[in-house]
Amino acid sequence: MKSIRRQLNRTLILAIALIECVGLAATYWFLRDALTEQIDALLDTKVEAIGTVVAAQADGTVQVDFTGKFLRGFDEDEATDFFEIWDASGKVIARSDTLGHGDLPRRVRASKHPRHWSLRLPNGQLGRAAGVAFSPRWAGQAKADEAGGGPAPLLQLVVATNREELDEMLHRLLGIVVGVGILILGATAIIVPYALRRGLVPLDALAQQTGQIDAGSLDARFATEQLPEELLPITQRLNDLLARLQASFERERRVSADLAHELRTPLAELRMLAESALKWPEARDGGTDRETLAITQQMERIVRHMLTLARTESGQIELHREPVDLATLAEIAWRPFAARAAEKSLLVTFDLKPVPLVTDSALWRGMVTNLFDNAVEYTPAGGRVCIRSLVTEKEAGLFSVSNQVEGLQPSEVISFFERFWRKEKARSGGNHLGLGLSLVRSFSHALGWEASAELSGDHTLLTIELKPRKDVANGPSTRC
Amino acid sequence: MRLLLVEDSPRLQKSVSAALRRTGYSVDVAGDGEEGLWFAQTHDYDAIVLDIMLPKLDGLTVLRRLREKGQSTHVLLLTAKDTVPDRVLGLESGADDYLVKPFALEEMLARVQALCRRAYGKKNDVIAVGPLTVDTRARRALCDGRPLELTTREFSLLEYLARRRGEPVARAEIEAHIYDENADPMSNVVDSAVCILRKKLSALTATALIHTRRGFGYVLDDAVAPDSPR
Repeated sequence: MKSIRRQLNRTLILAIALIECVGLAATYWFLRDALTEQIDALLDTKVEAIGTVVAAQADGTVQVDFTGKFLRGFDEDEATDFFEIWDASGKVIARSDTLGHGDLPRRVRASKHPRHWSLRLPNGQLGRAAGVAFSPRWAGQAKADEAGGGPAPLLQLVVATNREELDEMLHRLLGIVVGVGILILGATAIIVPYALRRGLVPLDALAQQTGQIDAGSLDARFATEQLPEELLPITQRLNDLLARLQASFERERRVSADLAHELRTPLAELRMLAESALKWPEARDGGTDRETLAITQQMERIVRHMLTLARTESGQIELHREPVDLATLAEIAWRPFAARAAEKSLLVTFDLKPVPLVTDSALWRGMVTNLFDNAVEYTPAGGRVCIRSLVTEKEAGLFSVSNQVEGLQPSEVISFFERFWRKEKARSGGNHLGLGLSLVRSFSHALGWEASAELSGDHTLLTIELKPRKDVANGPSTRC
Repeated sequence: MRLLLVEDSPRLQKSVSAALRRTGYSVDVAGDGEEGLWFAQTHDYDAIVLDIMLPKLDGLTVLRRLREKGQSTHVLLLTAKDTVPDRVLGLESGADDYLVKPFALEEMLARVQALCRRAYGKKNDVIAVGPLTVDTRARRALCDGRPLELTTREFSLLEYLARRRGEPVARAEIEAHIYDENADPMSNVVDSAVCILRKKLSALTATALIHTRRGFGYVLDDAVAPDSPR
């Protein structure tokens, strides 16, 4: 499994080690070059000094006025420096006593600036040399004049010095660099994991808290007060997610609890019928079977409505939009209720203006049917029902059902759209499950509309109104 | 035994009351809380089976009002509410027992039976009176070891007298506990039933068990009272 901590550990240690190696190597090379340049500069000085003691004679010979005492290092006691001078033909003109029987390599160039290189000295030690081709001065003006006033013939001079001291210093430097490198690497291997561990403490705490959250503790929230700013957005999103999860779980629990509660009475009825039929088989008749069927149909209706509600509220319902006229739809939906309304002598008035929509006609039929069912059921005998559809001045559709009611209080209006709400809390009505208006609200929301209820006329007239939701940008996904 | 069933579901009313009647109880039925309270306050029941969620007046309110009036009739709450707080609230309101829907018929009958037994301070389902043994649970009576063939109402009468063994029981009490609201018993129905019961008993045993106390009613006892003619 991938681990941020391990990955950061590995990457940081490798990166720091690489930077350290490059840095230390660069430092070493820089110091080595600086020391070598210093030796070369010293050699150049010696080349120049030796050049001053070389003088050309008019007869073509060269006079070298040099003794071991002239420059320190050329005497036989110390014997750290060497030089050798050749003429153009390669004949040795002069050489330091420190060379003994050995020779220096003749590697020069015709330039003011000497050429430098490392070499193995005649005494077997490592050394550094500077070689240059130069014209010596004339022994005097008369000599120069005798020679025709031109420059003296070129000579080749190589000066070498023992570099063991430099190499020893460079070795020490290399040792220090390697030692420091190892120390830094060791420290990095300790400090980086420690720093990461310290730095990731809030992340660990977050992970631990997250691990403790289960379906039973969705009310828990992550504290955001002392969190580093990098974790704040994550924590806030997690808290938002938890809130949504909690709401979702609570909704599911409520649905389950409501469903269980609503099914208890029909289940009890069914069980009583079945157990009575088993205990007293002689008492069983056709009525028992009809009762059993009616109970199962009621239970089926409860479950069907609850599932429809749950699907609609969770957005799982698929909308099939088509051109619909609300007025026509309402007229057709009313037909099954006409006989019941007539039985109760209800005075039904229709004020239906065409409301053309592109919407899901099945959901609209569901809403309208539920509103009609409630109106016919709860309007007292001889009462009035008014069904209205119109297009408002703002070109929005509107549909409403008003009916006379008895015994409703304004404080109860807020509960009309709740699941299983009934005027009477007793829940064994059978025909009315208390889900009709919940379905209306849920369907209207899915279509971009909203349902509202209003009690007017001294609490005797209930109006349920459907209109496009204001927060839906393009209206009710329809055109009125 | 006479029971009151207060339940708003017509189907449960019908099936529960039918089951109780077949078991031998006299049952009055009320469909809402107000009606239930009226029945409970105007009749003397051995036990009340009371739903909680009722129209007009909920079951707990009915129960509290009964207890406030000092009525101690045993009450079995019948409800769809199954949480512990709901049960606690029901019992704290004065209920004697609590049954959650859906319930088993036998369990409901057993609990009603237990409440009726407690109404008469008995812990045993079998009541022995001399040679007579009345098994209130099995709804069976034996006299000198031989089964007594009784109708449901005759058994209820015998059970009621047996539960109040040795006590004079007035005719009005018998009417109130054996016949329900719909039975509308004639004034001599109790005397006729007692007469039939005596005949059936005397066919199996020589011991006189049902005695008449003039001015009071009837006593079921195996000890013959010298001043009480049969």
